[in-house]
Amino acid sequence: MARIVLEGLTKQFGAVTAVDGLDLALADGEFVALLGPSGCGKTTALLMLAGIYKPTRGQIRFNDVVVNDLPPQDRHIGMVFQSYALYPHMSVFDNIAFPLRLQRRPSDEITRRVREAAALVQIDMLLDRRPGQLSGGQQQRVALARALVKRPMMLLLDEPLSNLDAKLRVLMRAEIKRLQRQLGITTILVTHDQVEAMTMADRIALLRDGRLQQLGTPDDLYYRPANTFVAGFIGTPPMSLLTARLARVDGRVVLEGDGLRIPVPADVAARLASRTGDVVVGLRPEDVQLLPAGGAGQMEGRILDVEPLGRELVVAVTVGQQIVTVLAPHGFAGRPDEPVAMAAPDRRLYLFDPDTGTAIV
Amino acid sequence: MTTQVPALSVTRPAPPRPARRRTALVALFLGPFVLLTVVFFVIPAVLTGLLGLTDLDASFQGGVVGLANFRGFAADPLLPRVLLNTVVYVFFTLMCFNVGMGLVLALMTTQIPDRVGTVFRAIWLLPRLTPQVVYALLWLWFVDPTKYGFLNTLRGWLGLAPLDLISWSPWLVIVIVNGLIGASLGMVIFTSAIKSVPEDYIRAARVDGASTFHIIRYVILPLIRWPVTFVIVYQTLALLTSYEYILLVTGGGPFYDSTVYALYVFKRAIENGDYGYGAALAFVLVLVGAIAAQFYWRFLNFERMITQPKIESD
Amino acid sequence: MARVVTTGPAVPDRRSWLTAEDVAALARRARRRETAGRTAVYTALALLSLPIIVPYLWLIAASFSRRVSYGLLPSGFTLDNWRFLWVANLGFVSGTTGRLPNIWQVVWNSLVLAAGTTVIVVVVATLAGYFVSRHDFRRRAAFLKGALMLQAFPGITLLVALFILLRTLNLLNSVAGVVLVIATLHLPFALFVMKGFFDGIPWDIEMSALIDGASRLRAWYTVLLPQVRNGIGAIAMFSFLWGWTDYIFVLTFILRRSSWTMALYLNAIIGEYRFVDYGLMAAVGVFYMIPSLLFFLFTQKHLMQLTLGGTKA
Repeated sequence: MARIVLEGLTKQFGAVTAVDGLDLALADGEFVALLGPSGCGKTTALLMLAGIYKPTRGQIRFNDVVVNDLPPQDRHIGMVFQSYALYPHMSVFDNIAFPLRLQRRPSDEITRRVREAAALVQIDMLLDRRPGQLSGGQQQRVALARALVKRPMMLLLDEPLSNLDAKLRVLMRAEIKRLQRQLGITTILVTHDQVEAMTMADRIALLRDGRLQQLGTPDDLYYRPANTFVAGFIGTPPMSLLTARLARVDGRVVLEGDGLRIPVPADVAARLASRTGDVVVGLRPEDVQLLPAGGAGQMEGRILDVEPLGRELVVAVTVGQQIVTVLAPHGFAGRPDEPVAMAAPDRRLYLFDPDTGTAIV
Repeated sequence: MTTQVPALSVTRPAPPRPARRRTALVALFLGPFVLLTVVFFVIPAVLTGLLGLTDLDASFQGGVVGLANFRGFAADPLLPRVLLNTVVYVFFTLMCFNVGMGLVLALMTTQIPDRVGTVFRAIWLLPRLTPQVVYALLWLWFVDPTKYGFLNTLRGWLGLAPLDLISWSPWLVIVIVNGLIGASLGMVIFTSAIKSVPEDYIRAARVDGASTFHIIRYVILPLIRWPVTFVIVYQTLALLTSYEYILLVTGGGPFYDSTVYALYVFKRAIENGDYGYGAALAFVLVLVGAIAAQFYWRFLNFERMITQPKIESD
Repeated sequence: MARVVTTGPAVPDRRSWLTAEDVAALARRARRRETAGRTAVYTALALLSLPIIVPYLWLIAASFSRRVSYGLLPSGFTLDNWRFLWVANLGFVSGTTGRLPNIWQVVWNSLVLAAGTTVIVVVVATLAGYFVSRHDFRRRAAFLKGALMLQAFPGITLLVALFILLRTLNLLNSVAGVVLVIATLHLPFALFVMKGFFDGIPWDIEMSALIDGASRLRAWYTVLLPQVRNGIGAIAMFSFLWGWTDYIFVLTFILRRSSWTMALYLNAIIGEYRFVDYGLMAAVGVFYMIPSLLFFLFTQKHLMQLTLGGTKA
């Protein structure tokens, strides 16, 4: 069993607060991603889980036992570092065997377990090589094997895929996910790449400046973002965030702005109650429709730029002083500076408070 | 858009013929260096060999005697003892201090906060930075055979009679005297090497279950093998050819018991005035030095020091 | 959510996790080990460093003491030990009928030696270092290789030949002769230091100066030199100390007492007053040590940054 709980976890380095009051609970066997831009504190949080940093405040509990003061060597965790940290002077076999040798296991047990771990990540034929002779992907597998050979109760991964080329990354994503499912081991992945987090993790904890922005499944973060940061971070191309005014006309609620006039569906309007003033509207590029020439839409503007991506095009449109990003199907013939009209989605309007950025449901 | 072309080519006078100007530049910049090193470095090296073939003495009289001096090595009654002294001196100073103590100090001072570590390292650098005569003065005070010497004062507190440490164990004295100086170079080099071991290796080892001792033994030491080898090789040559401290503290004595080869050269040539024989002895060292210099070149792969220059040859 | 769990060897241990008592015990053990380790290290370092610090403290204290009781503890503050600074005639050099030279003459000689070495090393090494760094010429590789070999070569083995050479050049007994020898023996090292600094300057800086109309020489002088100030400072300091602290060369090459440097002066004082007046010896020692101490205090940080590569697997 490996339940992990972070409660009010805080880490300060002098005047800098790297992690601020992080609350997180992982069920046994769960795969959670700590996602966020650089400097958001995710690696610091991971290192606190590993025991390499001591929390300034807050608690870390493994299976309901507080482990703040437990040194890394006693925590029974496996960790893969971003640089892999394979000991360059040892062979692959010795690298993987190292944790077991430190435990003074008998050598036949060591040999057996090292081979098992190597087979698990498919590097059996590389055991005699040195890390310097391996490719990036192979090194990563060795690092994984070394982390898993001691049968840890949890696996910590620090940006494991960032040093790999694009193709290898896709491959290893699936590999790691498969491995985690197969072993059922509680895993925490740190990454700045939202695609990685979305494809691999059961749940995602999105952090910014040391604070948790939202914790939820990929769908939660994508379709029910808690604030503008989450909304803008998750999804490629990113969601367009526009400022508009809430106006009430004939008993209906309308979002008004320079070049846009979007009616709000009745149920959403009901939840808005008596709110007035400015509001931030989020529109996903795939939800906005480009209307045929001459059509009157809820948004009107000029094309700013067209980026062909093969299967579809990303079109940036200026609406008033703001920019809306739209995904257009292949074949769209618009050009920069041409006027264009767009329809906003009925069901997929995201509304946020303009001052706090929190979602208004 | 228009561009302004600098008017260099118009106003500058025609340059002198390239070859002559080139040579003038080379002469100006490299000349002094070449002149000085040839006169005071290269020529003396050759001269040592030539002198070794003579029996020049203090009154500057003598003639060429061929290889007689070199043949005379075998008949020299002092030489065996001198060679033994040298081997013992170089080996023990190198292993116990230059490398041994250097490693110990480097390892220990990197396990504690850096500010404190720097203080201890600074203390151990003090002997190296002290003028040689002053350092010798401190040692002479320490080994002073009368009851006023520091060592003998301590012995007095313990109820022991005064001891002449140099007579009692000349080897011990010369090893420690030079060792305290030698340790600091290894310490600085090893400290730098230890600090440049990437933090991730240490962290990975901790997660793997390693204690600090394990980390030193299995991660740090293997990763600083190259600097250790460098210090061993480099300091062996340095120890073979150094003798100032021995001269100052023990004078090579008692008798010749602490005279190492390099000091023996000095004694024969400068103190006794046997320039010819002394040069022959010195020539052996010159050869050793020349071979070692070649060896460094290959071994340490200094090729990369000779990277391409910035300016094309004009 | 369905989870696929294979039975088989690679399933992580499912034994029960540690209890709170286990964790507390392990944490305690870790803390104890850490404290014990740190105490051991500090104790060892203190024990090792004490024998080095104590003599220096004694030196300074003894130089101001009338008496040194128990061979260790100075007592009775006095400035009398420093009389060598103002007494005209300090006595004889033991074993000879000659008098000890005046301290200020000796200081002057030492300064000339140190400054002379500095000037020569800085000028020659900077000129050569620049040229080798920036220019290609026919025998550049050979030149650098030769300089490297010289640097690795122990110059001290050439003592005998240098003695003969200086005598032939009539430079024995003069500080100038020693200056030339010391400077030359350290030139290869200084060359590579300066070359390193010049190598680190981007070509663009020089290029823009040339475009602005400066001649190569002028560019060198006004643009490049300021960039390598640190390098010049470093080798200047080293050179000064090499000259100031040298013993073996002044011992061998300078025979005339009036040309003595501090090293020889102190050496004679030791010979003369060794068992008689430790205070005087100490005072001269401290006096001699002042530039070295200043160097030591001012360059603490930089000495620690000597890098020589590390983890080559």
